[in-house]
Amino acid sequence: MIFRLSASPITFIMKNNRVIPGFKAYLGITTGMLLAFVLIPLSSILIYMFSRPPAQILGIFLDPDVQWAFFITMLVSLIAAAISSVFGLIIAWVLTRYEFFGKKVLDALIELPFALPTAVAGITLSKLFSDTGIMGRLGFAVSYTHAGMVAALMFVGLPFTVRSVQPVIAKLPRSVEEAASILGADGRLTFRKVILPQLTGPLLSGFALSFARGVGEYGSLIYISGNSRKKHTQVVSYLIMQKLNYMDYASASVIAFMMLLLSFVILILIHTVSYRSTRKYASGQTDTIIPVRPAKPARPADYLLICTAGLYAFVMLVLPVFTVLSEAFSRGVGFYLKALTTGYALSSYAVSLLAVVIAVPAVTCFGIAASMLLSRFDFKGKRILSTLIDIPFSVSPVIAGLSFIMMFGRLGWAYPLTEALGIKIAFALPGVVLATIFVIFPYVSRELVPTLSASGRTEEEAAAILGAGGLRILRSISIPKMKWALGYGIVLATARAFGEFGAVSALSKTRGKTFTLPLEIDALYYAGSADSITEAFALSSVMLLLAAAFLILKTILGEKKK
Amino acid sequence: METVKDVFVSTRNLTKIFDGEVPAVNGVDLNVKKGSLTALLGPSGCGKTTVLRMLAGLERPDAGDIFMEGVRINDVPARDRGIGFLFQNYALFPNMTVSDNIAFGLKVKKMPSGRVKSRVAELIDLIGLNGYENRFPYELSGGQKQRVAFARSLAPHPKLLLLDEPFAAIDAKIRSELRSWLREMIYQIGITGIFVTHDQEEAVEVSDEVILMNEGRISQAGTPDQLYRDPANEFAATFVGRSMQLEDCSILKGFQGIHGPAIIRPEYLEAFKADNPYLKNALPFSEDAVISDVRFYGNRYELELQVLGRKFIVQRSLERRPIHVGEKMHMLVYRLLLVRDGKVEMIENEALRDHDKLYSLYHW
Repeated sequence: MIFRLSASPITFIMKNNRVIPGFKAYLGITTGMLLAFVLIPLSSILIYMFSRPPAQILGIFLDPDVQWAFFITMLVSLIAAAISSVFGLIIAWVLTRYEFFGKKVLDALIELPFALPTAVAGITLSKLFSDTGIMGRLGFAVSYTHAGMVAALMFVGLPFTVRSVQPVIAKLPRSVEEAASILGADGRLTFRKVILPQLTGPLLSGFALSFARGVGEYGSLIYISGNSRKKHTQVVSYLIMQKLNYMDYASASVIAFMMLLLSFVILILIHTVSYRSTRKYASGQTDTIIPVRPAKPARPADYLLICTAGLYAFVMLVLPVFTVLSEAFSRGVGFYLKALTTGYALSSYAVSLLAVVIAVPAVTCFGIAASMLLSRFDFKGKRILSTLIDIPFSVSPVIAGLSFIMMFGRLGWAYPLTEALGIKIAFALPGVVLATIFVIFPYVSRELVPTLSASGRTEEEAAAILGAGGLRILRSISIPKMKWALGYGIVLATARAFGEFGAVSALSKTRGKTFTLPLEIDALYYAGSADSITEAFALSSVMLLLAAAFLILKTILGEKKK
Repeated sequence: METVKDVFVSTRNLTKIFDGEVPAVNGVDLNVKKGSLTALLGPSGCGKTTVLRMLAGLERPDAGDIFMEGVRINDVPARDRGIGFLFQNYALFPNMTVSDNIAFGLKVKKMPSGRVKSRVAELIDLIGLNGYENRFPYELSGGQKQRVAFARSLAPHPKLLLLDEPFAAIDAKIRSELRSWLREMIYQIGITGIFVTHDQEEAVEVSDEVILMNEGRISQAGTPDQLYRDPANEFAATFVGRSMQLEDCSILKGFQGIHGPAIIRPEYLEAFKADNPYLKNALPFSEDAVISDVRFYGNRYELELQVLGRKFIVQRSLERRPIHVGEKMHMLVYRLLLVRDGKVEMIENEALRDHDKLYSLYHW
């Protein structure tokens, strides 16, 4: 009895006799890093907000500009997510069910919006859809309108809608469709009555992910939206950044708080949907399922589907790539090379590299600990913890930047502490690094958890029974199991870190000193001269090259992972 | 003898080649009698499932013909062949309830909803799942799922039921129960059934006819009894029933004049103690044996004997005198299957022919 009373909180949440060692260490690293890099900074926004008088908070809350921004952000995101879900389903279907020329390229290109920095996507799409861009000249000059905003979010959301559905289609058992066909159903009826209902879960979660991404999107929207108050093309992320630039921290915090609430609702929705759909469709015999083999297109309907997918991918993915390259070299190779080697450019390479070199290992360490914790142990609060880890994924990067300003900036609660120590964090390199960590925080663990869960924990248990310690089990059993997924997660995190824009933009204001590559591109683009815009595209082509490298690496690692 | 009228399904030279490799099915001619339950038996990869899928219309033959009631059905799509198909993993529609699963084939055929309802109720009764109508597949056990899949395939009144490894995914304990249930159901409905299995015990127990396949060809077809008693070739002799292989049978007493490898089943052997009064006449032509292991199988013992430096398995009734490991015994070989060019031939022990009493005792 006495022992039970004196038990620590950790032993309380532990279920009896855990075989695999290391629980406390994994729990400590996971919760510690989560608190330090995500939860405490975020709560700094709340701390500041609630220190303001309620009347001021209410005033900001009721500001029509704020309400318009929320309305437009959600509306545009909903429309984009809906369109993207339809085309995402078509592309996913085409990629899993047909053999055709260029399929591998299309499959790899789907993640381009993920690998391409949002700032690059932003300036490229606004060029593509402007009067002088290719789509603009074809009659789709939608830049600086709501339609343009939808187009940008369709670009950003495509990987989510495709990749949510694609693996589920690939794992649909062949026999279920054969059963329908033997019972007399034709292809269309089978799709409507048997296949589509099985895809509702993944379709919904793809839709919700795409919507969440749209609500938080900053970089790819701010150029194409034009940010006009009159025309109501301001989005919430832009509004927060604008208030930040005006030093109106109260408004920024209240709007950010409202947005956080919205993100939480979406996040909980996503987790519920994916939890439900995985439970419902888990047949328990996934290893013996034979999927449908991809076939050569035969009927006109097959060609129609493939052409639709191809056309959508061409407009959304290939044309932007072409636009970046043609703009970058529009003034010749000499100008291009000079643009890549200006002092500002060289400094931005160094800052970007520094942020990545610190942030990616930190997040990798977290990812390994968190995935071991979530896949190898059962404990109370597991689902809540896994939801909390995903926060940075659904929170606008601008809010990430704001949270570090509200923690370490002049008004932040931690400012006296850092000043006493003589460290400058906000608007300095440490802030850039912290913001990068925040944004890529869940990327590695998200890749590892499914892989580790699928591989089961019996080998670890066997090693533990044979007397192996926690580190040895990790090194010689778990890491070999997850190595491809780990490489994959690191590639994704690195790509995202290089491309991060919104969060860093809030925290970094000194060009040539704390500007990362995307910030330098932004500065050049906003300088507005014809020369500087070409320079912006020249630097964008460097990021495009990086994105291409990531996509190739990702495709290789993705195949190995299987 | 079977007449053409008896045959319900047949194939001629049925062949399937996947991706230009070795043929998965290579010139199969089979005949299935109306109202019978036939097993397609063979090791994994022998082509039995491919044959079943071609009969169903799920796979197109690369050569050969399929006939149903004398009509060539190669070009008839699966849905128009009037067959039911029971998939190995049931393939229930995960998004539909038990009733909706069973009703699917009826609704597709535009049956009026009143008749759909009564047919579904009738089938739910048949499979004994009353009260489960509104459950989803993920809420059912393996055995229940299989019953639903069975009802779903029977709903549109198929003339032929094809079953792909129907018991593979079910625990051993309910498996035999389900086997006899399914057998009874199929006879009750009076349908023709073909099922695929790799389990010889299952094939022998459930079916009227067994078609044994190996490497894409039919090795032997016949009643379970025929396959067991009169195997046509070495593969049939070793795949069905238990068997031991002997590199040369001339080392055994009573078979000295015959050379060649042989297959021996436990039932062909008799182990007895030297003082056994009934078998004392057989002593001169029996082998010296030592018991190296005794295993208890609930209703019998199995003795492992060391004879001539080789291992033999013999069965022994529980009613006989007790034996123990290390005990000296004698082993009599009544007969064996001599292997010649892949074919097998039953050879009786020569010495027994002169001992009428023993011989007739055994054959009686």
